[in-house]
This record gives sequence, C-alpha cells and structure tokens, in this order.
Amino acid sequence: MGHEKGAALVSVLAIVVISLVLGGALQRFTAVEATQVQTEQARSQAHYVARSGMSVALSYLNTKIDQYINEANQNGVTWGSLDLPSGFKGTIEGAGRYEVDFALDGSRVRITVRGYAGAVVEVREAIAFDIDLQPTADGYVAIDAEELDWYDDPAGGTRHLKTVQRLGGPGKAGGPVLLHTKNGIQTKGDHEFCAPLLVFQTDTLTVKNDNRLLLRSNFVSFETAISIGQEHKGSVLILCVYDDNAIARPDGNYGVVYFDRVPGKNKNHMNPAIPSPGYYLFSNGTELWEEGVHGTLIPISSEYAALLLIRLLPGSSHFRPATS
Amino acid sequence: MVKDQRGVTLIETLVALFVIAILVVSFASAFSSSLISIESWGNYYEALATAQNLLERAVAGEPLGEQDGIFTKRDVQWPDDVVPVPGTVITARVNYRTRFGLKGTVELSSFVAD
Repeated sequence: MGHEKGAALVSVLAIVVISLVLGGALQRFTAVEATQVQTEQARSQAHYVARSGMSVALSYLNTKIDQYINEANQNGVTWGSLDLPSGFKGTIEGAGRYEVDFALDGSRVRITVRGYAGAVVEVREAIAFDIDLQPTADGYVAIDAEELDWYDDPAGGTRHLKTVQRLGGPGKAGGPVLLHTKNGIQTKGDHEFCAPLLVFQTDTLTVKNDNRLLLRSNFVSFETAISIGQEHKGSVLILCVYDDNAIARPDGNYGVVYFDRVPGKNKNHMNPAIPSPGYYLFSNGTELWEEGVHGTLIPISSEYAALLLIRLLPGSSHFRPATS
Repeated sequence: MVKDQRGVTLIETLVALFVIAILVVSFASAFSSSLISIESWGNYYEALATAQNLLERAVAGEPLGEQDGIFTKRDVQWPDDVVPVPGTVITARVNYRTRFGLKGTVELSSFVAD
C-alpha cells in the first residue's frame, strides 16, 4: 500500500520534470533560431558589404591603371608603378564596413576584402580576387570555338574558319573564346568574329591571299605564328575593339594584343612592325599586312597587359570565397 | 488504514490533476508561442531570400525600382582618402509579418562603383 502512494507522487513529479524539460527545450530552440536568423542577415549583409569593397577596390585599381594609358612608353609599367597602398577601409552607410588588402605574392596580386555587418553580433565575410601578373588569358577562356561551330571542317587536319556567308553573319560570343587546334588554322574567304577575348593556340594562323580576317575583341592573344598573304592581293588581318570596356585614349579606343611570331614577306625576317614577341595596345581598326601595319601599335609590358585584362574583361564571376 | 489510503490518494489525484492542468496549459501556450515564432522566422527567411534575389538582380543591372523593393542612392567612396570612387548604393527592402502580426523589414545594401 505504501508503494501505491509513492507511485502517484512519482508519476506527477515525472510528468512535471518531462514537461519542464520539453518546455525548456522548446524555448531554447526558439531562442537559438532567433539568434540564427539575426546572424544569417548579418552574414548576408557582410557578404554584400565585402562585394561593395571589391567593387571600390577594382574601380580604384582601374583609376590607377588608367594613369598610364596615355604615356608614350608603357613598357616599364609594373604593379609597383601603380603605387597602391597595402589596403584601405570604407563604410557603406547603414549596412556595414569593409577592409581591403592588396598583397603581392611573387607574380600574383591578391585583393582580399572583408565585410563586417550586424548590429547585435558583428559578422565577418571575406572574398578575394587574384590577378596573375603573368599573361593570364587562359584563366578567362570558357568557350571552345569548336562548340561555337566556327570551323568549316572536322578536327584532325588544318582547320578552316567559317566565312561570314557560311555563318550567316559575324561569329559572335558573349564570353572569351579559345581557338585551339593542333595543325594550324586557315582562312577561306572573308571572316568576322566578335568576342571580348580571343585566344589563338595553334601552330600557324594563315590569312590566305584575297582573304580578310576581322576580329572584334578587346584582348586578342596570338599564341601562334601568323602568316599573311600578299598585300597586293588584299590579304589582311584587322583588329577592332569589342565594346565600351575598351581603353579610351584621346585618339580613340584601344585594345590589347599579344603577338608571338609574325614573319614578313621574307619568311626569315619578322614583320617590321612587330619585330619581337610581346604585348601591344592596338588602335581600333588596326590592319596587319604582310609587310607592316596600318594603325597604331604601342608596346606594353606583360605585367601591364595583365592589369589591363581585368579592366577589359570585368566580371564578378571571378570572385570566390577567400581562403584566408 | 484503508480509509486513510483512499483519502490521501484522492487528494493526491486532485493535486496531480491540478498540477497537470497547469502544466498542460503552460506547455500548450509555450508550444503555440513557439509555433508562431517558427512561422515568423519562416516569413523572415523567405523575406531574406527575396531581398538577396532582388539585390543580385539589381546589382547585375536589371532595371528594378521602388515598386519592386529596390531603392538607390548616389554615393562616393574615398579609398586611401585620395581618389573618389563614385557609384550607387542599391538597397533591397522586403517586408514580412512578425509573430504578433506586426510588420518587419529585411534590408540588404550593396555599393556598385560606376
């Protein structure tokens, strides 16, 4: 009988304890959820503040890069020439603050931006952007010309580019394009291709007699020998800028081009306008003939070309979370 | 002995019922309050996601206006206190319903240089 009395009391106590535990857990869950929500918004805002800082940093960098655009000799321009501080801070009113760091590590510059936000708990989010001071065109290449159907014949031998007539207009791409073949690329009439960046990686690019190859691009990299047919037969390679992101100088818009080897009429000698491999600014509409150039080519250092690349090809797609 | 036992059990039972009733009422109240909170946080998360979506689209250049919840303001940042960087602060503002039927607002802002 003594046990019966205890059982009722114990049962009530057990229910009380269980209820208190459950109720406490529920309240705790709600409190944690509230904190999480606040942190989530702060994290999201911190990310956007960091992106704001990156936008400021790249714009600032472009301003510094532009200071050299009009100089006659841009061959000696390096990252050091820009004379940037190691970093700076800023505030987006009502949103948060950011800190920008520029760090040179060998041939790479890393821009790291930390964004801070949150009224109750301050949250930090960081993003980074790397600039390779060696030519970095490959890092931007996303589309193979094969996928764009720019060739007239199957892979294997020498590839012929599709003419304007065959394409029904200029070949166009909204992103960087790689023209990569093993055995050379040749023209087969009049051609026109438009893309923000064009990279030719092949044995030889040949513009045959009576053919015209027009490239509209802000950055063209000829990692190949270029062979151009006879001038009196109208063979010509024309370089035009792609869009408003091109470099504006008082005498017009310019793009960047890299030439590897451009033999002249006598194949043992280089085209006199491009005696050695390197990067050049090209004026809009520059024509490359067998024995010279009509237009303006200004030699620039590879480091300056790499810096101009981020100006010529802006895009937030290159942002990624910082690892440190 | 038997009488005493029955009397105590009755009292115990009544007390137990009373305590349980209080607990059930408080527990139900807390549970209901938590459910409302969870629903409110759900609304909040939805508003946050909508604000993120709107801000991404506006930053990408989609023409959104105040009727969509996008507010813009011209601003100038001064890195290194030397070079002005003009641009626009874009703010996405999304309203949601809080636990007591009140109006809450989620705001996210980003600066885009010209």
